[in-house]
Amino acid sequence: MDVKQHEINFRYDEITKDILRTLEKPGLPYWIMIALIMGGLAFGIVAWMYQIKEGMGVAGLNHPVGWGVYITDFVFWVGIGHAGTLISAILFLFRAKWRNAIFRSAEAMTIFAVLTAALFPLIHVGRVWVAWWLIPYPNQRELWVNFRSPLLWDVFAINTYFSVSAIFFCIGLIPDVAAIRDKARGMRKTIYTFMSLGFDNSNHQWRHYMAGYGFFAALATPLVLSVHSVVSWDFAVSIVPGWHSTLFAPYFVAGAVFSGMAMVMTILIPFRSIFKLEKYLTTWHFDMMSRLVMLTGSIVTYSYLTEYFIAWYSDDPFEMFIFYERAFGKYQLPFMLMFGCNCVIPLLLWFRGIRTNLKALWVITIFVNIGMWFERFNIIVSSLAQEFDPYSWGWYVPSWVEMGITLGSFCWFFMWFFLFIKFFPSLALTEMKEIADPPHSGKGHSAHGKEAA
Amino acid sequence: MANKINRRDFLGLMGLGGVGAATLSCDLSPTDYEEGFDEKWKPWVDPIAGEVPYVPRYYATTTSESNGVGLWIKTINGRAVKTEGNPEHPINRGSLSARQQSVMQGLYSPDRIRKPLYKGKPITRARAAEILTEQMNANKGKNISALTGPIGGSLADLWTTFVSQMGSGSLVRYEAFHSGEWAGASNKVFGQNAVPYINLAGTDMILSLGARFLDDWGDGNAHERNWAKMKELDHGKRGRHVQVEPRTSVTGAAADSLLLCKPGTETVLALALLKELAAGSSALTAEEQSTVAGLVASASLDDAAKTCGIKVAKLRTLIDELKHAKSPVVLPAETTVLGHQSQAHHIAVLLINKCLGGIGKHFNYSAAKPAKDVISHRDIVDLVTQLNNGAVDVLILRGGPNPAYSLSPKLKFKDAVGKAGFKIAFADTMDETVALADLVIPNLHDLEAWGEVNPYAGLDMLQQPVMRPRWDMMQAEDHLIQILAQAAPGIVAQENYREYLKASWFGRFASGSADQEAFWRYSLKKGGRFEMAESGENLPLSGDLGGDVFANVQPMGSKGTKLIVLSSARHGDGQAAPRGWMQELPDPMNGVTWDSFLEVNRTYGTSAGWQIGDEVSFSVNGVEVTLPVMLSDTCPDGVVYFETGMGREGIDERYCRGVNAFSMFTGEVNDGGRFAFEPANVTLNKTGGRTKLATLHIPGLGDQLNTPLTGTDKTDSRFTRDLFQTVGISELSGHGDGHHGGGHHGPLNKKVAFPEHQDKNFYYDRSEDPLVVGRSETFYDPYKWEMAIDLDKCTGCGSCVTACYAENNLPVVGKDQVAKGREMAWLRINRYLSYTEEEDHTEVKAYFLPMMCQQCGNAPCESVCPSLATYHNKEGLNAMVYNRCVGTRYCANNCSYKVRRFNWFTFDWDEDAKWYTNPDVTVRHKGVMEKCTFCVHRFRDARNKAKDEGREIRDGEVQTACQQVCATGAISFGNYMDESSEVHHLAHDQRAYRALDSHLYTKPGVSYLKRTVFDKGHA
Repeated sequence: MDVKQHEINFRYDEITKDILRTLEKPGLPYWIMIALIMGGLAFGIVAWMYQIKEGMGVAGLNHPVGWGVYITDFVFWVGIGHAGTLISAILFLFRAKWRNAIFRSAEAMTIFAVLTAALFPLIHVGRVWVAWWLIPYPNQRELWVNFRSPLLWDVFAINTYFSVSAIFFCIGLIPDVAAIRDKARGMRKTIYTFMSLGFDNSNHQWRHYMAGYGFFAALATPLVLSVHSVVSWDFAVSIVPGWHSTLFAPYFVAGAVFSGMAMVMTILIPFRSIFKLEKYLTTWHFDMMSRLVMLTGSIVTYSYLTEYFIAWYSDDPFEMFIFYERAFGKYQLPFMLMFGCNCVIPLLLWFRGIRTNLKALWVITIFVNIGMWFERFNIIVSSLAQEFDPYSWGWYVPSWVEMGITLGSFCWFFMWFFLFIKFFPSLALTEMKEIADPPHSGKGHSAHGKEAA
Repeated sequence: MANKINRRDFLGLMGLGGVGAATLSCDLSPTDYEEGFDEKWKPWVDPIAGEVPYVPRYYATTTSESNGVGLWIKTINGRAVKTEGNPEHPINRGSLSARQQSVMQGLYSPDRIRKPLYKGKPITRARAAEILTEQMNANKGKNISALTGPIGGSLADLWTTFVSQMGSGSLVRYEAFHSGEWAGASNKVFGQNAVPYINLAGTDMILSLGARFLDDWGDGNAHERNWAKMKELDHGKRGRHVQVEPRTSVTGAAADSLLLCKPGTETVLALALLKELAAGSSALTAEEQSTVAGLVASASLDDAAKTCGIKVAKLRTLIDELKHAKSPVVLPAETTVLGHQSQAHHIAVLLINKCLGGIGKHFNYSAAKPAKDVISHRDIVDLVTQLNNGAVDVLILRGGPNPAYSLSPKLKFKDAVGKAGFKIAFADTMDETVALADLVIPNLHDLEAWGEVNPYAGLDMLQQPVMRPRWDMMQAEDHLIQILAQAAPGIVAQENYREYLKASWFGRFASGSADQEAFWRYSLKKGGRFEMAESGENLPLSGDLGGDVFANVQPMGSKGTKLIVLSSARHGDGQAAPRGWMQELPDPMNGVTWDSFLEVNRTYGTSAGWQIGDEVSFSVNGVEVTLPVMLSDTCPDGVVYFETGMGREGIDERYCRGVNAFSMFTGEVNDGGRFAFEPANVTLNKTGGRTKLATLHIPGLGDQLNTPLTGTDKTDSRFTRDLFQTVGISELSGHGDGHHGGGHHGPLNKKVAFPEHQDKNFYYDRSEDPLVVGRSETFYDPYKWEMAIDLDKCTGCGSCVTACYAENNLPVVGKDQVAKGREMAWLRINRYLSYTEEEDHTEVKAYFLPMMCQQCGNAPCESVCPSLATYHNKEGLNAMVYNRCVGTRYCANNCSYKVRRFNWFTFDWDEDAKWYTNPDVTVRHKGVMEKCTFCVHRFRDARNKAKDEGREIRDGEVQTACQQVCATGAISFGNYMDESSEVHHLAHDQRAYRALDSHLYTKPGVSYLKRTVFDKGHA
């Protein structure tokens, strides 16, 4: 898909000025937000410390429900971390020009979401002080890890994904950081100088840069698919009814993109209006993202239906029971939230009018986020609660500690995002210029624009 | 201080083994009590010559509270750590019930009395001795009465001597539950004033009219064993157990058929049965027949059937089966449902057994409890009267029985005790009765003291100290001897009770023996004298059967909902209530822990708008009671059930919970010598209050298990699981064509090929299995530990659960955590219900399945552990390395049997409780997963021993803790690779199946043997 020229309503020379305006000294609202975020984060940290001191019993977890909100949060955040790399790498390779305006913030979001997700394996283990035993390292006691365990695959998947995404993010930043470097002073200048790796906009450098960026995009692309597949195997490889399914990898990847795109929109819609970037982030961009949400939402819905079909087709009493119970049993509420938010509400996106109505879109994307959180909750908790032995069925309700840590995780995520807004351009300067009308030679502004780039 | 016990000596002596060392324990001089009081125990640091640290020593002993069973107390480094059964004992043969095991928690109870108390304030030991002497001197010759537990033998002699020498008082023995009603009935029927030893050995049919002989009635350990033997299949045949009772108990659930009767009609039924069985009975002479016929002339089976609510056709079949059985036994109803008809009922039951030829063999009067040891509740009522008259100058209470708790409040026992001139208590543990005393002198616990228990003629058990006393104190009987030495010199020749006991023992049993000392040691080592007569005489009806013995027999109460109160197998008469193991052991039928509850029929409760835990109030015998309801499908409509043992006061506050059932008694004594209680009509009113009942499962949610049961096709497929399986006896090979008349017993998984359980190569084909590459047929050589559990023999009593707590240091987590599903039991008893639609009602059956780690050959938990903290070892165990566990809980999620337990907290242990932890097993802390590993520490020991002797471990050499206590022998354990082992044999039994294996291919190491059921048409 190519850029529709009528959507480009900004001038080449405004780009640098408008976008770098987001990096200016923050105002009072920003500080209030930061204060709220830090407060929530502090609460989460206190809750976690309390849990470490007392034991996992302060969470609502029990026998048989050994995983609850923490793993839900983990999968949720890994899922959120999918949109960024998808947009920056896969759409880059497909040359979808609409990605240019959004990929930077989406990519930042990815990294912060993975940073958040990576906390949860630590939070949920009983003995966090020995969590490093999950890393295979040579030692004289010849203790080794179990490479058959999906949890170990997780460790590798998350680490790889995080490293590659972070490097890809930094590489994408190079030309923009170079531009800020030229305007910054003091400490900032030193940091930006380091991060720009001596980029000076020469043709030579641009040629290598673009090639390198392409390679990284190609490297990151399979990871987008692999990381959530691996996460899904935490469940699929087990024998728990409701988890044990070969459908899980594609189903989880689609769900991850679904929730990730929704989160990108949830964040960008207010961002766009606060920083007055309507020129750059147009309804056209949101329309495109909505279409992706529609697509992945449909895949997710199809997966739900497939799960039910397979449960029926399997003729396995345990499998049939668990799917029946999800819809009609004690855990009906999370199921209804999941189904309503992920399958029914996104149907509204079939209307172009709604896709271009940003307020409606914002509400819908929040519903999708809620729905996707409950999807994971539903999968994890309802399956564990009613496994094979009816005598040991259980009932799980999250405790304040789990809710506090979940709140803290959101604050942790937004802390990074708020810092990012003020330290890096949230829209890629260079890529915006790629799609803007190049300045006509001889006109006064062109020289200025060139210089800025 | 002159006699100060140096800590080093104290600990050193503590560690001394052998009887000699144990005898030292009562040679402490009673001076300077303050010293050594609050001495903290320290682990054994200094070595003692000849003692190997951590090598256990066992002492054979018994306690007054454990129903007259023999104990082996395991001591390590000089302290008692575990209660085990004495394998030689004729009644329990090594088995123990859950409550009997909890003696250990009594020994280390936080309620133990450490200092003498005077008017509630601690005083020194010297001061206590002074007051005691003062009081005795001042009151000598007056009425000094004593109230003790059911003591016999030399203990009874000493106390009787003491009371008679000191003045005009009397010795009153009291026990809340006793079997005294047999004595009166036997006197009437056979002219024998004695309690027969009821022996079920060799029977092929048991009809119980309500006696819960598999949970808390009589010599339960022996009954369970003999019942299990009766149920063993021999050429496709086995004995039958029919239970008639008002409410499904554990015994009823285990019965082959359960006939629910209306409460209070048991005696009517007994008379009708007697009439039918006596007619033409070959065991009666013509004269006897006419006597009996005269007694039951007015009884009618049809009327009785109507009264009881049991179909007359059923009863006729039952009578027919009893008549054709080779050696049937009929057991009576529980006394608390008999009210004032107790004696009549027991007479009827004795006569029925006479008609069936069971007197002598099953009702053994040669091994009877003699009349002098029989307790009657009239004695304590008399004592209360005397106290109220101000006739008692000094009342001496010997701790143990707790009448202030277990007497009806109508008797006003507390007020009466207040009227005694002076009250002295010798007690090891604080309770409601001890709290009434002016002077409390700490006594030794039974495991620290000498004593004797004499339940039956020929069964005299010695109680010896198994460790040095916890605190520096003297046993009550030594005090008595000291007082007697001053007050009546020369009466007791011995200086202390140990010598007194020894002399008495010699006098009774070794008068002609050459080497008395050797005999003494032999008796101590054995645990006493086990010489009960195998069987007695078939006595003629030579008693006084007047025409009016059955005069007062009639159905009790009017129509409507009736309350029945029975003794609790967990808490008994309340003595076991302050013990964590008993509180955390779920009620078998309802799964409730830590609370008393009122069992109410679910349909009835639901229609009244009640939910589980809603409080209802009702008034019974003038007492207003409020209780939370537990809705139950097994409890029939028209009956509400409550059990004894809760509602203690004035003890450790964690255990002060629930309602005291004894408060509902009227205080009247029936003609059987017991406090009468009969099913009482109650009207329940919802109060609006709620108590959250902590249950081990979600009531009503997991109940609907429908296993493929014989004769049932109406199963709700959503709940169909093959965890618990039954098989019709006629379908077992050698009987019938295998499939007629029965339901579907195969695996439920219709489409997937069913792995062949009986395959000889069950464990040899692993090389083909891609999941277990490398485990060739020799992987398990020479051992693969496996277990087999016979569901036909499991009663669901829960003694294995408690054994596991004791053996493996499982923490007691408390009500809140149990309510959250965080109990730590490695072994639990799953209770499943099955519903069968009959013509006019739904029959609800309860089944019990002990579930512990199945040690899967293809374990789902192993592959998912990221840190390899759990792995499959060379002996077929699913080993668990606590140290390596990070706590992801993935293994527990993936465990299909839900037997892994996570340490949600570092659970607290009482300060003293740490002393009975098993040093062979670690105490886990927070964040670590744990589970059953078949008592792996036990066979590590056995393997070391076998290795030293250059052999392999023999079959039966190692027992798991759960197997050891199981009275019915439902659990077998051994080496599967040894083709001659019992477990190998059972794993290939035609009843064997492995839970969920057909679905999941987990290859569990536990074989369950299907419960066998009779075809329809039986009673």
